[in-house]
Amino acid sequence: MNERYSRQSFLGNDAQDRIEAAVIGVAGLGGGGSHAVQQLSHIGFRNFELFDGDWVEDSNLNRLIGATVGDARARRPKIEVAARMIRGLQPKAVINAHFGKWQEHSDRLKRCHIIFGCVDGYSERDQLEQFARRYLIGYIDIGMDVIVGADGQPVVGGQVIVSMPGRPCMRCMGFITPEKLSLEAQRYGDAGSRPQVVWPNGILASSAVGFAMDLLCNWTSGCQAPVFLEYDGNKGTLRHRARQLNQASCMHFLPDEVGEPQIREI
Amino acid sequence: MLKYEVRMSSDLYEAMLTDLRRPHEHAFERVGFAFGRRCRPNDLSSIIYLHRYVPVDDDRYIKTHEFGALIDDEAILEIQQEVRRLRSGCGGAFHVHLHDLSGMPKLSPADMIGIPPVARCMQRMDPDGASGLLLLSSDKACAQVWESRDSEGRECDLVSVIGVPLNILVRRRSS
Repeated sequence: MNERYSRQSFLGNDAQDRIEAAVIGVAGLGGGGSHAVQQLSHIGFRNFELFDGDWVEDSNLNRLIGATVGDARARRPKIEVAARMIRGLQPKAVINAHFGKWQEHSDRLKRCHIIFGCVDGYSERDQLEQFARRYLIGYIDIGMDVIVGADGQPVVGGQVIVSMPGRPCMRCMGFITPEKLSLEAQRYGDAGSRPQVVWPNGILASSAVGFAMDLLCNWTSGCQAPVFLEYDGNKGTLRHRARQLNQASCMHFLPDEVGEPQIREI
Repeated sequence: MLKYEVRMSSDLYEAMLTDLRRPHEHAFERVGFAFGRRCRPNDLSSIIYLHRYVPVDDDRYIKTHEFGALIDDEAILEIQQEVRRLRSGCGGAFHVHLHDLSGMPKLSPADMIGIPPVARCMQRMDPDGASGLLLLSSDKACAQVWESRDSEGRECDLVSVIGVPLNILVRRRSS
């Protein structure tokens, strides 16, 4: 065991080999994705496919891990900030940073073993999960939101979801529904700037990375999926939702529907 | 150099292990076939997604003391026909068997004689696809791929089992 990782040796004898071999995709390098990338780099991951089509702005500096005032002034792409953070910890890392939406570079996402979905909206999450199922990739979703509650007080909420091929998906868990997708489509272009803060993203990203580590190293000998953790930022709690699920498999994605879609003459 | 990966779901992997561990009346080990679809995410990597496993029927095994398992022409023909039926330019079938010990499995001398011709038979059915062999142990796996009319199998760098847990079985250390 390399001295650098001696404090995480409980993860298993071959844990570092698995970590170094795994290809990690991060779609969205804002508040959530930047936390995830930082932690994954500390742990020792060396293969990254990064996707984001945005630049650092002043309004990002309240939560974008690794970003500086200089980055905002330079309007540096967020993928460059993430890549810089990784290189600072993993000089030998293979980093493929793609400026733009993940759908524009989706071929590169196919080689990932785990995707961290740190995107906005249900439709984007839905598409990422569909892609992950098709190409046999573990999908871990994180997201947070601040809404105004019935009493006019801000309510901070969020979720961490672990969706694995063969196991219940986000539709099975009730997180993605036709109603939510339809409502979002009607509001398309009307989203405006949503409130975002650093600490809920830190909690959600840390939990997500923790689940990824257990999936990959099985150090608890009882890693879980599906996981649907609901975050209540006002109470400071994370609560399991998926335990209420009454099914072990997924009814939305068939096991045979993997790899490149096939076109057959009938 | 192109890196190869064979990827499958944990459900498929468990189904393979369960089938291959069943004792046979006279064969010392069992054989199965897994159907795959190849994908090239970039110029440097090729991934074969295994999506279906087909066991070999009990009565297709020939009595022999030379090999752990020897299957008849009919069994191979059935798989060839299925590869041909599914022929898509990215499909193929993998010969699968198990050495039920822990650690990285190695092909035996008998495997090296017997399996490559079977893999080439599958390759002929979909020359633009990818066929090969997958050798499992109780906790690791290795694979070879024949594609684009290769005469020799290419060693896979990774075999990954995607599920709970997510098992990346490393053949060679990534650089």
